[in-house]
Amino acid sequence: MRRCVIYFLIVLPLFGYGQMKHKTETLLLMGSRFEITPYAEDEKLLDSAISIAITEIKRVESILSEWQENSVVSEINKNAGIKPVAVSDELFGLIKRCQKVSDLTDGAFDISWAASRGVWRFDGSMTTLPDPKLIEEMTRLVDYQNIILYEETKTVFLKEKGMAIGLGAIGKGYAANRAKYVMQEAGIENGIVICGGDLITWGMPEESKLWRIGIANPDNTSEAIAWFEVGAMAVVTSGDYEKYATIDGKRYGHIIDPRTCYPVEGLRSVTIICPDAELADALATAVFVMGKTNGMALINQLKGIECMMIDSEGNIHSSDNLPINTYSKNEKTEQHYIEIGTKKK
Amino acid sequence: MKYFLLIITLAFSIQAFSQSEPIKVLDEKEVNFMFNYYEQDGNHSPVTGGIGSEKLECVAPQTSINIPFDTVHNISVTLGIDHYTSASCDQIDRFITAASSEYLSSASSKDTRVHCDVSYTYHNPLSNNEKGFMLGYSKEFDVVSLATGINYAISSEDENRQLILKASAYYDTWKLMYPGEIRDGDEYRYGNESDDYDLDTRTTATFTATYSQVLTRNLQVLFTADYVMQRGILHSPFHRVYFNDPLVIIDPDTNSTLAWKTMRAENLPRARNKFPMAMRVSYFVNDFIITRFYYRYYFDDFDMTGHTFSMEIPVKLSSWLSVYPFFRYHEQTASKYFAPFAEHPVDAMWNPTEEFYTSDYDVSALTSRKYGGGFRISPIYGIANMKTKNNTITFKSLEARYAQYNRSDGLEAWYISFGMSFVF
Repeated sequence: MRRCVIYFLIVLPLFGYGQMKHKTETLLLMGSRFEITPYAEDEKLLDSAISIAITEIKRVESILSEWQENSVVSEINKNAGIKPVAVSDELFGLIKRCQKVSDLTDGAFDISWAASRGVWRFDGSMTTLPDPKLIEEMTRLVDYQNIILYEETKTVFLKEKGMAIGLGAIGKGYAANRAKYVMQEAGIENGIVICGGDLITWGMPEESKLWRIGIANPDNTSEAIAWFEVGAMAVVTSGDYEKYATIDGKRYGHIIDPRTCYPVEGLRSVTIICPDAELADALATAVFVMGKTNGMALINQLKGIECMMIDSEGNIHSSDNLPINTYSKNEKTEQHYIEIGTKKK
Repeated sequence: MKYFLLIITLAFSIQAFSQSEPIKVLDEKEVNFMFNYYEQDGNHSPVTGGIGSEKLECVAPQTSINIPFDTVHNISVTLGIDHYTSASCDQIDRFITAASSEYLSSASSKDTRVHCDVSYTYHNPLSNNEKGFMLGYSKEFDVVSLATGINYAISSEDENRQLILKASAYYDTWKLMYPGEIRDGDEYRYGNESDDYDLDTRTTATFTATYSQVLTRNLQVLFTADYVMQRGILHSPFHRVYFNDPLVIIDPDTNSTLAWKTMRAENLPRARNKFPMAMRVSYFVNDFIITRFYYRYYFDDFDMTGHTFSMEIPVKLSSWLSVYPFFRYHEQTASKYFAPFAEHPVDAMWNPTEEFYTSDYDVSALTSRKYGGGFRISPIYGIANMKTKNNTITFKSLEARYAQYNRSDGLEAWYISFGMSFVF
């Protein structure tokens, strides 16, 4: 599941006498556009911080990637239905946390969705609905409860043959968390990392200022439809725009419900705000799948996590502790004037 | 009993249709999910980098979502039809020679001007600038005008200061309609068809810079300066200028010939540069009264200088009604080409000694006063609403305005205008 979102970051202008400097490095990593921006008073720190962050992100990619033949995840998938595979503490912890979110969301978030990859294609080449028998087989294979984790041996076993796990989506949140951590360890106290639809900030961009973040308009992702200011926070947006399949006149978005193996409807964009990028990532996908009512009800119950949604009608909803200010500069107005009187030509 | 069961059944069926799955209610541990997300014993593990729950204890997000209502792209279209009568236009044909008498000019005593402007602005709510362009078209009996312009506005981060730059160009095509008595079909052509008249053009370019600033909560100022460059025909071909030869004029009311005076159509140079600059101050006396002052200084290369001063005091009588009296004073010196009736000199052969001459009092030395008032009805939720399929059209405000205008050369005028605005 890809998220095609562009964030706008307003970096408050730091003029000549400003103390903090920043530098942005933009590169393609993990199949997404990464933007790494540390802030520091000492300019020399910035370059080294960026290269440390890039090294770390590449390291995370090598662990999580299901594309690389000899990655651990590929190993797990190859042995589905055969035998458990030993993994590092780091990966074990990550998968375990994914399972926790699956429990919380009753399977709306499910890393075993990867078994159904290929059933739906959103590049325009799909013209008919998938075979119902194939869908049925997929719903059997996509089930997080068949991902068995053995604590003592730190091994992962996919119970059914044909199962597969994909960590690409949550991996970006994890990579962002790690990039932030290594930069903090390197002495960077303020910064922001953006990767695709995931974003994490720490510190402040300027003395007693907050980070200003914009949410892309699903109809025109180069525009912002809303903005807000946060301190150190992760913001993840899951969006159902750009990629879709049109079959029999109906439009199917590219985010699939792991429980039905069918694309979900009703929402165009979900944004989760909470301090952890990895959790925000998982919840953004889960809430999108759960839909407007159930998704929002879940977030409203979770302490410390807020959410903003844009539904398919373009209406914006937010969780209870996230008020919305709509402000208008100009509405569409029509004015009519009639003038009577002698006027010199 | 039957009905009771029926109602219960209906209630349940409605409930079943409203959502596909029941909403999950979380238990205490789940409510704190974020704080329990990381394993207790995995807290300090180097691979999770200490990003366990102790770091997540820091706050829940406290922010609000800001949604700028307005569209990023703004298009505004203005259409206008002005129907005017003009006593002076009636007089163009007053004197027609025998040769031209069978031709009736289309310059009648009343006419209609149609005009249309389209302007587009682009404003990214996350940036501080706005760009736009404008196209306009206007047509009346003797002038067709095309206009185009671009504008660029930039605001400071706190929106307290703004700079606007504009450039526009106008291209007018004039149908040369001369006073009846000098039309000879040769140098001064006339006729019934459009192409029986010669054409001339005027090009105008305007450059404007405006700077506005909010000084305090109650005080805002604005400074603006323009440069207007005009090239081409600048006089009105049907304006008559009489010279100071001792001959006598025809009585216009009785049309009886008393004697003949040398007469020419107005003639002005084909280039003019104008420099208006103005300042506007808005002072908010309290929540109900605003005072607005405006002063403009103007000078050009026709030797005209002018001062304009105006004051308007909008008073908010209630949440939906405000009234605004206004007053405007203007004075100007004469253009160097102006002279009153029968004062432009001619030589012994009855040829004008000046190259350029006009007797149009608009460019004479004068003072003028305009005063009046208006009211505006604008309730918060509009005067009336009408819901359509997708939208609501609101009749937002109604305003009316009256002004009386007196000029030192004797011109008096008044006007009433009504405005209605709709929002959707």
